[in-house]
Amino acid sequence: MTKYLHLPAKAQLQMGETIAIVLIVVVLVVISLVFFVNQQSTNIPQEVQKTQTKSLEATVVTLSSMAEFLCSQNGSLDASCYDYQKVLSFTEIIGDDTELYLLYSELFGPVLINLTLVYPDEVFDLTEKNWMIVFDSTPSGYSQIVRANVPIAIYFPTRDEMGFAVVTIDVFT
Amino acid sequence: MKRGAISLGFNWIFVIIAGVLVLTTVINIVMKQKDVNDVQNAYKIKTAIGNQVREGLSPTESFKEIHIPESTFSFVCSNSGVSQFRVGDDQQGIQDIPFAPVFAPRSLKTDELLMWSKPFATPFPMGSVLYITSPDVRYVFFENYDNTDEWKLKGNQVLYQIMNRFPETAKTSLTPFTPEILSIKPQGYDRNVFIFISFNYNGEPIDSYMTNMEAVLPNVGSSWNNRDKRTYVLVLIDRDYNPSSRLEGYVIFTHFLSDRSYVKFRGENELIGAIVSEDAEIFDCTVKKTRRRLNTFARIMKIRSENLKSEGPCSYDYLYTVPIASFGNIADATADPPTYNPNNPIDIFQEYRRLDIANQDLFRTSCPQLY
Repeated sequence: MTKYLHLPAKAQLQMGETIAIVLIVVVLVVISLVFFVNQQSTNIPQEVQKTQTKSLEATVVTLSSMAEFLCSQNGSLDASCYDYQKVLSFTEIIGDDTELYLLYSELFGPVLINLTLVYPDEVFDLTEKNWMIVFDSTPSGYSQIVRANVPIAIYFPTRDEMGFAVVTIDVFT
Repeated sequence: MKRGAISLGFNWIFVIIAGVLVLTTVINIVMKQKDVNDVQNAYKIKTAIGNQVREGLSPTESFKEIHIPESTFSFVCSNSGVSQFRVGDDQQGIQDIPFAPVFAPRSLKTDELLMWSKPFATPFPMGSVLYITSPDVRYVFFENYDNTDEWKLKGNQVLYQIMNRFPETAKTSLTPFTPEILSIKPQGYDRNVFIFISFNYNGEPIDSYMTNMEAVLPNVGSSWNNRDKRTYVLVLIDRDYNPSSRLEGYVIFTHFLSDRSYVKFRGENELIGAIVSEDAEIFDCTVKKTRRRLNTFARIMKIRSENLKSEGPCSYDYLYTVPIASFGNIADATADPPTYNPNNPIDIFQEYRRLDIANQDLFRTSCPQLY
């Protein structure tokens, strides 16, 4: 046993070189790993931000496609105009029908959608304030909110008048 | 053993260890990159489907073709909750579809998706039905082989009408019926769908066709038992159908002799949906979603019409009476379960006609329209 461990000076030198190379390789791999992990962790907030923005965009697109809210004339929808009576009827139905509320929650995700009247400068018919909640699926716990304000035209069919409003969409994550 | 041999042995061991380490790392990186690519592809496809579903919420006609690396898709339609379109097995590839009606086959293996939407056949703008299929599914339409020229002509008219509703890039073909044709193998396609369009001349109950399907499709013989990827879709149109009336009837699906199911379809959109879904369960589930959306919309429009009648600017407020009743009837007929009196069934299409007339009257009298 002792005989095998007693190596000549030249062989010891070669082993030393090999160990040094292996050590250098290991150090390089460790540095790369640290760099990779750091890079990944700096990407996470960006990814979260990106996902939030995409959710917000998707909700805005969804809202501008929904016949449940939009004005229509001669059978055609106007994507830039909300029909106040439709919005009011929608909130009434959603309030009474839990199953339907859950389906729309799946469609919108965790959001709070508000409608604020800008013109005419007066209160809404029934709510006695100049804003109303269109849909609320705010989660009990959330870490971040992204918000979009979408200006729209608003039609009051019972008065046959047009107005101007802002739809505020808060997306929660 | 000589001393030099020991030193050489250690060198080889180090070289082997280092080599194994390097190889493992390279393989790991490649595999991870492949996983990342798969996830990215799944996400890309999922996003495209999601966008199309969102577009489908508005009543627009659209078409989209997506080229992708070959993937396996599965579609699950849920009656009560959220339907899902899955790309591969990865969680990133799951696209939830809360309530948009989507007709798609239960499974697909393809590198290209075809998605198109058609507005609901309602007089008021409400939304669209989305169809998803692939050029890897071949739709073989058989020319009508009814005995009389009159039925043959009527059958072929419907056939061309339905064929033309498929996008140009969908693989459809028209062929005369011969028993041999049923021996066609998928030949590079994921599967074949054979479509027969005929009439229920005698007004027989659908069950009699189910038990005696060979009488409807003569000379099919042993090809029924071919269990390769094929679906037979037999469309039985109501005998009273004429080009000015609504297309109605039954669709029988079978994959082989012992596996049969049927559905009732109302209108062209549903018939195309039946052919694309190739499945009674998915068809029924999607139609149910369409009815739920219609129910919600009818309830919204009923309240709106009531408010217009009681508070509106129109001096002809009685013009809203018929729409209130019609929207109410549509809501009752589409409720789950329907809430109308079974002895006095509601014809939704009759209600559509009443609404259309009322809407025109409101327009003529300069009153706020229904839609």
